[in-house]
Amino acid sequence: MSGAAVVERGGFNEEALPHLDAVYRFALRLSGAPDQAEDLVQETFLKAYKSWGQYTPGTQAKSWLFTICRNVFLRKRERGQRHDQIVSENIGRAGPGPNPINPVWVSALELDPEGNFFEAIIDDQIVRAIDELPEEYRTTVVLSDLEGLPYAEIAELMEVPVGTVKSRLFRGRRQLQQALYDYAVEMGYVPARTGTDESG
Amino acid sequence: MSLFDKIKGLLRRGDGDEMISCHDALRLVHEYIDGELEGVSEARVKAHFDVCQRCYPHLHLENAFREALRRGAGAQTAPPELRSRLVELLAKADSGG
Repeated sequence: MSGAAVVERGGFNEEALPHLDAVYRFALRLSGAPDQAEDLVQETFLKAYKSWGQYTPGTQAKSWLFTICRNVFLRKRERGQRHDQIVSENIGRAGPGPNPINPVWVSALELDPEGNFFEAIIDDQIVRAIDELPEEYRTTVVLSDLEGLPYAEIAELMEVPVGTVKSRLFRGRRQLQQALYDYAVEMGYVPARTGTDESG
Repeated sequence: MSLFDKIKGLLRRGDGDEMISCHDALRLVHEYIDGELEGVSEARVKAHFDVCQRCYPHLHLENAFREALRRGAGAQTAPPELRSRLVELLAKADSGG
């Protein structure tokens, strides 16, 4: 082992390895399966390690690892391991459109204004709902809402304009909210309508 | 004049400080929660949600939704055996294996 390798390894341990849990979570949501996630993580860290010389110390190591992880995932997917539906969207469209009122919340506010139904939804169902999103929405929502990355970093990572990140977040969150609300209604976590106020 | 309009009037100190509309508050709710507002201050958006009974519940539900996501999928950690396997792989890569 060379002295240079030891120096690089030290920097890697300090800057890259602390993000192992975050990269694993990301890989898990990308692939939807723990064994595939582990393979993705291993490949991601090995690639990062081998090209550690290209990394500028002190910059966004977490985003860089996410970028490698997603690229590895997309390359594997292209080989046919997983096929998501094609996301139809206007690239670069900034904003949710003319009506920002969330129809899911309008329904929820009638029956459960405190949103208590969220607390009744089990973790597995939340994970399932995230995994059912198309990849572009899933990746954007995970990076923003679970990993706390700023819009600009997500845009760079996914190689899209910030407006597209906003659009994907808007649509991905709406789909998730609808799925979780529908599940809560089915399970009886949302109080049923009484029908007493039909006369207005 | 509604209570909301009265408060809105009290808060109006000039063009730049005028309270934003319900439409704008709801349009900006994601950027507000994400700390990504552009062209409007966080204080102006907050001032609206603080006093608007129509919009505040939407903000509350958005926050409850984010909290549910973090609880459901944001706390998973890598298995310990993956961590140790990774350390071994990196050591092997060091030695050219």
